[in-house]
Amino acid sequence: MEFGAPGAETAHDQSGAPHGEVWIYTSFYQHVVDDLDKLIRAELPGVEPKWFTGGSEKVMQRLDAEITAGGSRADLLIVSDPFYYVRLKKTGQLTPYVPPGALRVPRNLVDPDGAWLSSRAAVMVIVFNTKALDAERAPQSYADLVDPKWKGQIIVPDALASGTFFTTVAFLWDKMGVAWFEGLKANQVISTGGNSAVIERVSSGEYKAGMALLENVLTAQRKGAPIGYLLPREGAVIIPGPSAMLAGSRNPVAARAVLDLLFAEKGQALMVKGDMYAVDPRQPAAKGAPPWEKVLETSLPWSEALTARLEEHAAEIRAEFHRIVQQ
Amino acid sequence: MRRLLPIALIATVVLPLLAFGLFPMILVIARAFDGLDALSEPTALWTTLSLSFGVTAFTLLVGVPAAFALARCELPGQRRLRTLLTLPSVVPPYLMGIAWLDLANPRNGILNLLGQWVDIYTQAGIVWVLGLCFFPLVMLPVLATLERMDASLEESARLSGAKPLTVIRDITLPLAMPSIAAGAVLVFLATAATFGVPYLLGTAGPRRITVLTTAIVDHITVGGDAHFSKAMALSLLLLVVSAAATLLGSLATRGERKYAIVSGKGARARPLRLPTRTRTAIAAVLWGVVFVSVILPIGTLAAVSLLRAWGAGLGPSNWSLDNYRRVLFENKHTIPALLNSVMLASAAGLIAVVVGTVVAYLRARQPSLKTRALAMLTHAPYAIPGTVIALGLLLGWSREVRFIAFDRVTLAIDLFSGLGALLAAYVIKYLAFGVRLAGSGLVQIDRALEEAARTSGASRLRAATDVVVPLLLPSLGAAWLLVFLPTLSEITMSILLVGPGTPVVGTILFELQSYADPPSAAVLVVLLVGLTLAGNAALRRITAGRGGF
Repeated sequence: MEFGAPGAETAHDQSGAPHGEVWIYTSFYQHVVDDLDKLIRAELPGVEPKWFTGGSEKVMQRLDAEITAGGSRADLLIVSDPFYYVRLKKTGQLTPYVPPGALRVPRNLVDPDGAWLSSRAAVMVIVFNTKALDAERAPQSYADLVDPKWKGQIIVPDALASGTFFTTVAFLWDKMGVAWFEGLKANQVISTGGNSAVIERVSSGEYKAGMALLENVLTAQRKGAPIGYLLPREGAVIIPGPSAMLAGSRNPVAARAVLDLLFAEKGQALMVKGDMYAVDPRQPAAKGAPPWEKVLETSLPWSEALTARLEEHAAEIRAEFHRIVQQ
Repeated sequence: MRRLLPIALIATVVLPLLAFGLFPMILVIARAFDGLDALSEPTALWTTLSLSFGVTAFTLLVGVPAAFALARCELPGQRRLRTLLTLPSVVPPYLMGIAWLDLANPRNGILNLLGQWVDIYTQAGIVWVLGLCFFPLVMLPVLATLERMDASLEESARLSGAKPLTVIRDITLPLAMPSIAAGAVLVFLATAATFGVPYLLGTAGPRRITVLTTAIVDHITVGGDAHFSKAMALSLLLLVVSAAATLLGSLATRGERKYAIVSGKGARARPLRLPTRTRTAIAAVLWGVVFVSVILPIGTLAAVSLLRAWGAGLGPSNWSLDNYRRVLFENKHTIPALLNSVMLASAAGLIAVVVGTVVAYLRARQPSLKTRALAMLTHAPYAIPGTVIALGLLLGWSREVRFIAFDRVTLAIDLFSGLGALLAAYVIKYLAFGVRLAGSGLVQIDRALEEAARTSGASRLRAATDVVVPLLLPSLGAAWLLVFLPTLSEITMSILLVGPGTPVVGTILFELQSYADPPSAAVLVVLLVGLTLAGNAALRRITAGRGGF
């Protein structure tokens, strides 16, 4: 609470060098946020980044509530659920902006109107316990996950709690159909917690295999956890990591400058440092990850039509997965 | 003075309660009426009820005898026992759940390595974990009551020839009823409103256990207006359940005068004269409780915090202090988060106790529809999931609100630029502790004491502050502690309401648990427990043994 003269609000100067507060709502890991914060302060002196960080679902819940209440403070939104961006765009909550660096981003990972653009990509892989299995004997495909041979041995994230796994589920709903959900249920596949929880329980040997994000696997491997991964035979699901500027931004000049930085070489390098894939093709893959070309080769492709279709059915897919697999 | 007092009360207690408590709740719960069809599936309700009754029974069975033994039996190592038995409330139930998952999951839990004999992924497992987390909610208030009970009450029964057990059954227990009921109600509400443990243990087994809170959060995350309404309808149902539980609790202790145990006369009750062997045996049982509720789970977390890699074995080759270095020194948010949380939790405890005492006092001494409604209002938030409260606060207060008076002075309420939103959420959620425990303390104070002060010429306010408050202090201390401990590491509301650059323990815990690994999160728990114990030791030293727990 504060007392003061009316209208004491600081007005942002909309000309000249970007400065002032930029509120960024993001699901980036804290260490990525820390690095990005440092980069922004170094490259854009005068800009003061304000962060709200949390899992994608939490960030989306907060933003939704704030928008319902009459407007959010957020200038930028960086979470990992592309369908949410499609919805925001539909309701006029986003301001299109294409930073110069974003011209290198694969076409199918951006909105054609520039309302949102992926600034990094994540890959959902099959994981297995290396004490119990090796890459040959582990389940190789989505079809294997519903093979009775693996009954009761598989764990995947909670599609309601993990934005990245929901994106995967939506994608596979389109590719494999509801029958695959039913197969998961019949095979007693457990769906709970986030990506890290899956990795923990597969590492500990409670479950032999499962699905999780590659970036989390790499972090766990580096610490010595007995966990291995492979790209599913039918092709890995790539999860676009969109970024966008909100229509209600109170400091668009600085917000644009931050987006520019995120897509510039230095910003993209931080994505790799955070074990994600940069969307700038000049950046290497993270240490221990397969090259981007290899992932793209085997991956299931995104398209604008697919994103739109899945967004339309997002609530239905969530409810369906929950009803079939999580009961 | 007489006219100023009510205005001051309204401005400092009633208005904030309405603004930050009632208003946000109305905003969210009003949506319930579009989602009433969610109520047609009663399974989650039955599961919530059976878990809540189960946990309440468990905590009564452990908490009441433990309080009694600590207060009356002169046990060897009594002080240490008491401190250790309070510890379960320091660790968030969710993390206790993780410890038990490591210990007793049916596949490779440590306790199951010699044969699969326990399965924590069951309703019984959830009752076990929550019971061990919540029994201090019963033990502490009852202990506070027993320790200041007028000695003459038990003494006269004993002098009339009653056996010690008869005294306990016929005098002590009935007189402690308000505290027992208050604790039981709090446990019931806490269980009904808890999300972490039922989610963690209930969704991990082949047979999924759904309770109201997990159903509510599921509906919220499925998203869309229809599901949000369903979530709110279920929240409304939880509110009804909690109101019923609260009512049941007050029915159990009707007629307040008969519970007046603090009168003008008398000193501390005398301990029971028990043979050494009996005292040792009782102490051994309590150490058993300490073992399963503190040493086993917290020891597991402490051991986990030393593991270099999760899953790479439990032997010395996998031990390291790396996690401590990373969490404490490399993560520059940990220390500020600890400071923020200690500050917030202390303030939330203080506000909840002060406001709670005022509300309980009004409710006890001026019973009317208005004060009754006010007391009810303070209980409601404790019974609904933190997510719902947080969303309500966001809907109501996420925009800066300015009141301009006389074109000159602005009162700007900007809850969300710092720690304000978290403070509001913590106080609103845990105010029930303040009201309940102050209330149960109040009915135990003989009103004749206050009346004596009034007839000697003291004003009503003076009588309250000089006579009632000092006598209430033990209950208020217990209430403060019960607010302080859970808010110190509260996760659910914190991750939605945290401000920029103001991390708290809950947000760091969540981050470590969901993006780093269990060893790193365990580090923070070990630090919390260590800090709490150190703080307690310091407090006891400063207050020469009167403060602390």
